[in-house]
Amino acid sequence: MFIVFWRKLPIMKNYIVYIVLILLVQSKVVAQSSIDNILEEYNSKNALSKQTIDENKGHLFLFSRDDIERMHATRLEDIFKTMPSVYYHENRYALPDPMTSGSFEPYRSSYIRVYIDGVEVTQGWAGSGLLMYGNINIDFADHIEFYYMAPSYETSTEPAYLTIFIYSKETCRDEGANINLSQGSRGYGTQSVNYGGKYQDKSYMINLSHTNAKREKIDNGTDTPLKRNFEDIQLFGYIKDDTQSFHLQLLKKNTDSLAGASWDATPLKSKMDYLNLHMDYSLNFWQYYKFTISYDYFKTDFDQEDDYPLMYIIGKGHDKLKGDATTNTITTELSYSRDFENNYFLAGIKGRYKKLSDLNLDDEDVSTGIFNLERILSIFVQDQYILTSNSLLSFGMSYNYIKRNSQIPNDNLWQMRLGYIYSDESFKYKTYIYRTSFAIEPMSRSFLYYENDDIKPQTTFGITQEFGYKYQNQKLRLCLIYMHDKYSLMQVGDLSSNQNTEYFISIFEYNYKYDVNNKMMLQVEYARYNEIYDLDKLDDFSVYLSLYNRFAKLDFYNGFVYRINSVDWKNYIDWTSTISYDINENLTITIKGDNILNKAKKTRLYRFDPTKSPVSDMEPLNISPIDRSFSINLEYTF
Amino acid sequence: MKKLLIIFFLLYGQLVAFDKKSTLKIYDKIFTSMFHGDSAIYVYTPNNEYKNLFDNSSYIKPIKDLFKADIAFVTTKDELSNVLKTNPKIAVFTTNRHLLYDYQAVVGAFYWTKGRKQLIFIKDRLDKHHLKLPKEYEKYMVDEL
Repeated sequence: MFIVFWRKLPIMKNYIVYIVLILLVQSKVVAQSSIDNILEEYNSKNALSKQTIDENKGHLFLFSRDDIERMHATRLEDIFKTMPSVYYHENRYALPDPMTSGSFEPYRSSYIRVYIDGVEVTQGWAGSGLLMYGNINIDFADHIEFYYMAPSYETSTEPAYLTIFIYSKETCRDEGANINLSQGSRGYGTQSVNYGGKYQDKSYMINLSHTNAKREKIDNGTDTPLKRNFEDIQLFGYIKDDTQSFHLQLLKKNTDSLAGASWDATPLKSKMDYLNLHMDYSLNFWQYYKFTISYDYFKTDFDQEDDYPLMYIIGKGHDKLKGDATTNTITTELSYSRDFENNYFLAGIKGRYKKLSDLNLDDEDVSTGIFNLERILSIFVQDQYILTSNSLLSFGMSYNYIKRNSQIPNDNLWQMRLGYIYSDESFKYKTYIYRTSFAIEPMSRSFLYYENDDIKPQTTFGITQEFGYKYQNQKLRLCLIYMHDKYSLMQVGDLSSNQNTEYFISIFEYNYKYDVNNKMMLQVEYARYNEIYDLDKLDDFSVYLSLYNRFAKLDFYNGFVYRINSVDWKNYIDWTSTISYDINENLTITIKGDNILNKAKKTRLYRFDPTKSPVSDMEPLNISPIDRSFSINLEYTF
Repeated sequence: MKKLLIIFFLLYGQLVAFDKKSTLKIYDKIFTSMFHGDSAIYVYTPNNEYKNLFDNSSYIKPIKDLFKADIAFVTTKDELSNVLKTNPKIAVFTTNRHLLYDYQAVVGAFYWTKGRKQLIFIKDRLDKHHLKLPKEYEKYMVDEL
């Protein structure tokens, strides 16, 4: 494994020169006076993330407000692409799908869950809100937390591998207005406005953004390259006080859907439009109780056409598919949490109702008499027991009952998790042992024709460990994750073959803070997967190096993501660079380059030739989800 | 006990709006730098939250008489209006960026912007009140807004 990396190293020499040059600039440390240090200490101790981080949710990868601002991350994909093990990928419909195999599955990342201000956003039928929220504009966000592995039952309604918590800006820290304008390569443009204020004891915030994404076209060997442009309008708003909160999110997105449902990725027409509405209301009452209700509406309009039969033979013609689908999801939760001496006890009940309310194909309603309803009931208990003044034991258990219509088998799922956390001034240790069960999400069940099969829920057994050490301005961390899936859903093809998948993931992280304005982070990941997708084994190696520098009114960010895996042993490097200048207190101008070397990790998109009998494989397309682009950004705060 | 609290903090999260120790540390630093002397700095503030915070300081003494105060500390427009009605000549420090922009009496501010606290002083306004900051504050001073 490492011999192969070593052999590949000469290819990396050009990139290493860039990195060394930037490290030289990094080392030019300016001595800081004490007011600087006190100010930095204040900013660090009072970051909003300090109030939301819950170490018991799993293994945390945090992007603080400072990181997001200095990276000039405008969409979630800018953050996602730096994540170890998962990276950011898009599927054949140009939708965010980090776990895609590149094959013909409708959606793979159902078990990555997205939460905004602690409430899950979901598209119901696809299982996860990531489908739409995987590359949303994050101008409304203060900070983002990624937790690897099974989350605490306090948050999850359905099982997850990875949970993403996006926390919005707080009015007390972002009162007033902020306008962001960005113009980039190929005419890519974004406009965003944010306004927050207070009225009596209530605070409110509203964010409106518009993106017209002109993206790189993909050569598919024909005169008509694949397109993945999109235009979206996004509204985010909340109003809250000490006991209640209400969120409203509206997302409308019109897209060119890349290869769509074409077997050979040569569609005559490939368009999908989406409309998503999310609302939630939370109430804390009687000191220990919390009630939350949320509603998600998701409508997809699709228009697909090919000169050969499409992947999904539904509707009137085999080569055309036009229609719309609407999903409604309602989730309610009642929880009770209380601390007794050394125990922090939590119990709750959750219910989720998912319905594919409308399915129209070629102007004909086909939603009656089909599998279109799932009801999920979850009951959970969790206790966190303080063993000593700096160690803690946690135990949680959850039961999920999934009831489906149309004679589809129901599921009874049990989840268990045992955790231990030790933390002192300089050392931190965490370990979890868990058993989790995942049911196939309804969309894959429908599209992959498993309606009549008894697809067993995937049972995952996992052991994870994390070691952290902090010394002065340096931090080290090592995460070790082992998982074993029984009846793995991470397979291509026949899911009833009862395959097992194994994962071993190791992530090493080193942080060094030169001073108030300059810091770096190095993350190295190695992962081995056995029996995943249609591969016997998969080795994956990645490095993320981020450098943040500030000099007077100039701010620099350089991020390098290097990836290589055993599918093709090709080197991929994604260099993102930004230079910002504060024209005055209120106005900042930024120049940003994404995937500057045009060598970012590519996603394989597999193809079949439908003209041959039997159908034969074609050379897959290799598509980078990250376009090479340059942009100029103006930010005005008033 | 301290370590126990650290763990509780990790678990419960949303207990405190801001870290009092680091907040007091920065106001101690700012006001001792503005007034140089070894004696106590008398600060008038109508805001109870900050009054309670300053009660814990070894350098800052909250005072009720606005005319005996070295400086007034306000967080809202109403608080500032009331202060200036009583004593229009007093130097004011604020946590509100908009007040810094709109009122000449405000000599400096410590406020949130882009998720970070920013510190800023207006040099001309400091001069009018015969206040002088050490050299280390140079980058936090502007001639005008």
